[in-house]
Amino acid sequence: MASNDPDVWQILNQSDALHRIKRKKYTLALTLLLIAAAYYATLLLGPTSLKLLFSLPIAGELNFGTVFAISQYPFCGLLAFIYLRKMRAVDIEVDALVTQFRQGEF
Amino acid sequence: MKISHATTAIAGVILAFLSMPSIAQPSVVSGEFQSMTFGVFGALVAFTLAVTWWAARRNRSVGDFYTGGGGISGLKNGLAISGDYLSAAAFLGVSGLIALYGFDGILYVVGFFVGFVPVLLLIAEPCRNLGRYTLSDVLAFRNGFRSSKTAGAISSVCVAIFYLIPQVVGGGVIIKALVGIEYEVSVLLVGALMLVYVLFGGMRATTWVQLIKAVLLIGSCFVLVMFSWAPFGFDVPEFVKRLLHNEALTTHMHLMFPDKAAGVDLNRQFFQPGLYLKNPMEQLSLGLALVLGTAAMPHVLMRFFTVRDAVTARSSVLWAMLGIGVCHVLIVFIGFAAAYYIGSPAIAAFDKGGNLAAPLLAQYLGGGTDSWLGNFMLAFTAAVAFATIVAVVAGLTLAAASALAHDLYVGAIQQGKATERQQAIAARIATLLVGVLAITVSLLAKGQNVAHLVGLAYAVAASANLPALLLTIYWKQCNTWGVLSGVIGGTTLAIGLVLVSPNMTYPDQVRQTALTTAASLQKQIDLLPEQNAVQRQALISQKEQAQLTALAIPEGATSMVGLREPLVSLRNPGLISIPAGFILVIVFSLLFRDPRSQSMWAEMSVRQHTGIGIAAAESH
Repeated sequence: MASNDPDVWQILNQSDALHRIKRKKYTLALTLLLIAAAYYATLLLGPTSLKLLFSLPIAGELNFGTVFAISQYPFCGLLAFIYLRKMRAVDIEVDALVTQFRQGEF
Repeated sequence: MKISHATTAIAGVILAFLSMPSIAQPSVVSGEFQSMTFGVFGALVAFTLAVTWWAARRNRSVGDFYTGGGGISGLKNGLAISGDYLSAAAFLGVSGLIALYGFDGILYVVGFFVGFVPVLLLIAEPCRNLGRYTLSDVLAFRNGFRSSKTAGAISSVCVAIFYLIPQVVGGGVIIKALVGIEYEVSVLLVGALMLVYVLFGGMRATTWVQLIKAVLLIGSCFVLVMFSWAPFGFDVPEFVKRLLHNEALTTHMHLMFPDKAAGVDLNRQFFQPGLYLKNPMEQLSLGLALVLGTAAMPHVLMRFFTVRDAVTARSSVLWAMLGIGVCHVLIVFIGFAAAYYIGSPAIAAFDKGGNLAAPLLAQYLGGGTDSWLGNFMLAFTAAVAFATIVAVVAGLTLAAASALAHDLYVGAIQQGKATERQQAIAARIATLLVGVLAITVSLLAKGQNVAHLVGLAYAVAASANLPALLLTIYWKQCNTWGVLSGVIGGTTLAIGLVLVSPNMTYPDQVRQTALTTAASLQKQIDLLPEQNAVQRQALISQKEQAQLTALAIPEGATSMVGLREPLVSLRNPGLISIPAGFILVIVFSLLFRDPRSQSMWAEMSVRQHTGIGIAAAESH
C-alpha cells in the first residue's frame, strides 16, 4: 500500500470510480434528506397552517394530525431502510475500489 | 485484580445504601411495599454492577476504555444507542406531557427521533471512517490539530455537561417522588453508579448497561400498553373514543378552558395542537435544534467508533431507530392510557409536570395501590426509570471524559504524544472530574428548574459542533479558521441567547406579576359575599402569598446578566444560532487560508468514502 504518498490520495480522489461512488451517495442521501425534512416540516408547520386538516377525524375519533405525527416513525424508518438497501450497490463499488488500491493499482 | 476488588467494594456501599430503610421518605409507594421496591432496585443495580465487573476484567487498553475494542455488532450498538438516547425525560416526562397536554406531547418527542435521519445519511459513516474516539478526531483530521482538538473538546464538554445536569437533577427528583429516597442521596447514588460503570468498565460496561436498560425499557413499555389496551380488545379507535368521553378528561379540559362549555367538543382539543406548544416559531426553533443537534451530540457520535466499519455503523443507526421509534410510540400510548385510567387532574395533582404518569399507570394496571402486583409493577417501572437515568448519564460522562482526556490532554496539550499508561490515567482522572462536577452542580441545583439545559445542549450541538463537522467532511474550502469560529461562535451565541431568553428568571417581572395577582385577588375578595367564609379565606391567603413574593423582590431587580426583561422571545436559540454557526464557518473559511486543510482534503475525501486506513476492531 502506498497510503503515505500524498499523490496517491489525489489520484484516488480524482478517479472516475470514486467520483461515481460520491455522486450516487450524495444523490441518494440528499433526496432522502429532503423528503424527510419536508415530511417533518409539515408536522411542525401543520398545526398552524393546516389546522382544519390536522383536526379532521379519519378513523373513528382519531384525527389526521395524531396519525400524521405518529406516522413520522414508520416513515423515517422506511427512508432509513431504503438508504441501507440502496447503499448495498454502492458498497460493492467501494469494495472494488479498495481492492484495486490494496493491489497497488494507484 | 484491583479493579474487581474496587468494584465489589463500591457495589457493596451502593447496595447497602439501597437497603437502608432510614433513607426512605414518603412516596408513591406505600410503606408496606417499600422493601419490595428496594429489592427490585437492588437486584437491577447488582446485575449491572456484575456486568461492569465482567467488563472491567476484559478491558486492557485505552482503546477498550473508549470504544470497547471497536468490534461491537450493529444490533448491540443500535440497542446501546437506544439506551444512551432514551432518557428519563422521554419515558417519564413525555408520557406525562401527553397525559396532560395530548397531541403537543407527541409533537415534542418526534423531533428526538427524526434527528436520526441526518445521523444516518450524513454523519455515521464518515465519522466511523475518519475518527478514532471522538468528534474532535474528525475535526482535527484536516484542520489544525491542537486548535481543532481544543475547540471540539470544549464544545463537547459543554454539550455533555448541559445534558448531564438535568438528567441527574431530574433523576434525583423523580426517584424521591417514586420511592422516597432523599434528593441528595438519589443524586449521590446516580453519580456513584455512573462513576463505577465508566471508571471501571469504560465503554464496554457502559454499552452493556445501556443495552440492558434499552431492552428493559422497551419491554416495560410494551407490557403497559398491552395491559392498557386489553380491556378494549386492542381496538385503538375505540380506546380513543372512550378517552374522548372520559369524565376526568372533561374536568381537565374545562379547568384549562373555564370559559368554554365542557364536553366532547372541548375534549377533542386534547388531540389537537396548542395546549402546550403555543408559539409556532418556538416550535420550529426547538424542532430544528432537536433534529440537527442529535447529529452532533458527542455521546451519540462516540458510539460510531465502537463498531468495525461504516456498514456496521449504518446498520446500528437502523437498529437504534427501531428501538427508539418503538419505545417512543409506546410512550405515546402510555400517555393516553394514563389520561384515561388515572385521569389528567390526578396525575397533575401528584406532579405538576406529569412525570409520574407512567409509574402511576403501572400501579393501577397491576391492581392499584393496595395490591402486591400493582406495587410490584410500580417498583419495576421505577427501577427501569432509575436504570434509564444511570445509563444515559454514564454515556454522557464517558463522552465528556473522552473530550477532556483524549482531545484536550493527549491531543492539545501533549500533541498526541502520550504513552498508553498516561492515556489510561488521563481517561480515569477526567471521568472522576466530570463525575464530581456533575454531582456537585446537581446537589447545588436542588429546587432549581434546569430543564431548559436539555434544549441548550441540543442547541449548542447543532450550532457549534454540527456546522464544523458537516462542513469539514463535505466542503473542500472549509478550514481551521472556519471550524474555530464556528465552534466558538456557535457555542457562545447559543449560550448567550439562552442567558437573555425567557428561560432565565427576571425578578422584576416576577414582582410585577405577583402585584397584579394580588390586586386581582383583592377584587375577587371584594366581590365575594361575606357568608362565603371558606372561599374568602382561601383567596386572602393566596393574596397574602402573592404580596409576600412581591415584597421579597426589590424594585428594579435584574436577572443574572443584569436584564429586567428578556431580550429575545425564543426559549430555544436554535433558529438564530444554527444558521449563524454555519455562516461563521463559511465566512471565516473564505476569509482566511489554511494550506493544511486544503492539502488534506483529497486524503480525507478518499478515506471517508472508502474506509481505507480505518482502525482495526476487536470482536465481541
